[in-house]
Amino acid sequence: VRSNPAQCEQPITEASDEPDLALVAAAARSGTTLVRSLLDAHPEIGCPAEAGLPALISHARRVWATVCASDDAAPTDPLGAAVLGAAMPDAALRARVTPLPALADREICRSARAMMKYYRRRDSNRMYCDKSLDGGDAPP
Amino acid sequence: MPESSKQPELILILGAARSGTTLLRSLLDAHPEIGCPAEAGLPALISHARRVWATVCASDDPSPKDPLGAAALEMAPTEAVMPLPMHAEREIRRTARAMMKFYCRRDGQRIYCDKSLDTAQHLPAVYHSFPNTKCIILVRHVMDTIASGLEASPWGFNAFGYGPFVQASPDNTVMALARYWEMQVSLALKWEANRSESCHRVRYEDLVTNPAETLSGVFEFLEVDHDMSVLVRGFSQFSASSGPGDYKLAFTRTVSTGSVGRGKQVPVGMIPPPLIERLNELLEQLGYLRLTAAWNAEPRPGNSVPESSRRQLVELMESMQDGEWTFDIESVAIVADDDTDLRWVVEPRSAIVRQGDGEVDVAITGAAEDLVRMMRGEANIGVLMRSGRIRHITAGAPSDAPIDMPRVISSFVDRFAAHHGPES
Repeated sequence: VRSNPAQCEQPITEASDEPDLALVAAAARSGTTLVRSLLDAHPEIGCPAEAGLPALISHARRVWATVCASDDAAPTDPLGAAVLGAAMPDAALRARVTPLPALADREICRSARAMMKYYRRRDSNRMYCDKSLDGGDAPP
Repeated sequence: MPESSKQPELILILGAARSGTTLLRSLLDAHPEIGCPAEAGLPALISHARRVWATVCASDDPSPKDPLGAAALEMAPTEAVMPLPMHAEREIRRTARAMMKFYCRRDGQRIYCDKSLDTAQHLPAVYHSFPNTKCIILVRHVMDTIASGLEASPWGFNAFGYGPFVQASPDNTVMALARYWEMQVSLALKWEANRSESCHRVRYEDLVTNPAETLSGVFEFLEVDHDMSVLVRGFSQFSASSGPGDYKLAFTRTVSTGSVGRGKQVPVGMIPPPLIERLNELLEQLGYLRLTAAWNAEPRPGNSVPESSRRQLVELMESMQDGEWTFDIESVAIVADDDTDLRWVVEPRSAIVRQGDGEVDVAITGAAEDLVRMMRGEANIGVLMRSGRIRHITAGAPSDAPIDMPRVISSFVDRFAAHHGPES
């Protein structure tokens, strides 16, 4: 799975269409640690141990959804819908993600990027790769 | 807000499920200086972010030497938080602050308050990121929370954090919910013992009995205006669609004592003695009455019986003074648990019914309204007894032959029906 930084309204550094996030999605005991260690050794990729970034993004979306629940502007925010549309063409998958205000989407994107950049900075990898065993449980 | 400021930017409502946390959060959210949304789970998110950062930073050599992390380790061992690089600490704070500010920006509130049921598990992480956090510890009598928890979970225990406890003892949900309360309250009181200056304890019973006085203490602790209009706006502004919380509050218009003492219906005999001992330690610490074997027969505290139920019960008992009795028991007490004056001693063999106390073989108790329904045959006695709405206690020694209580109560009701005929 590859993610495109252009889907974030405010890319931290890169402005290109190159993906900056890759996910290793698999069942446990499928060789994910082997793949992640091979990828982490690649000069362009940083892939730490199971950090659980997808679950954290999901978790942050749930908290934001409650914080925004009483906010009139939140449910109709166009950026939220736009981001979802770009990321997930499948309508059923789109329905599983609560749209959030633009500010919330930006903050979630920004804080995830901060972690990704922190890991990548050591060897100046340009792409962060996450290998977590619950990646498939997290909503899109 | 500068890190050095002593003014809290974050307040936590810390309490077990079914302790009135949604009531308190709606009252605080109505305060002009405080923003308190539905259960957002910010403490758990802060903990979660720390765990992810810890893994991302694990291969990072400089991080263990970070001075901020070292300061955190000076806390008690149970409060230890894994140190993170300054950059990570800043990012975690920034993420949380963005959410807090977003909620508070609507009405310009200056303090964010979080009410989440799993806060007790994440206190060290929250205090590490926000050292000036103030914590309101909300407690309620264990048996009332169990009664409320059972009522709120008719179709399963998939909410409030009860799941793991019920899975551990699926054959005894009273014990499961008692263990849940014990865990939550123990964590809260342990935290309070080490951080008394940043904690303020509130009893649900005090909040609903003396709301103005209790809220005054809360506002004093939080250093905000003593704005008692929250007692009105807390209900008028509440919206059930704003997120998770007590399902009753959207249909509540005022603070009431109606739920105090409902734990008298919960059979204390379901809780094993070692757990009772631990619960009593905590209850004493919180200023509550201890649990005893007579718990289910003692009157409910702080309740007043509806006038119509009082009148109906008095009339029924007075009418029982005439006619024949077929009881094969020496004496029975009929005790309304919601009014200390409504108690009678019945001596069937002597055909005596007199108001007051006395030595009896058996006491039958319940709310006046339920005693009336029982005697009039308006509700199935088995259902009333099974639910704990009608309870009994026998005075005999354990070696005595057991009294057939369903039969005694049925005889009582039959006696009434024979005397009055079926109620219309």
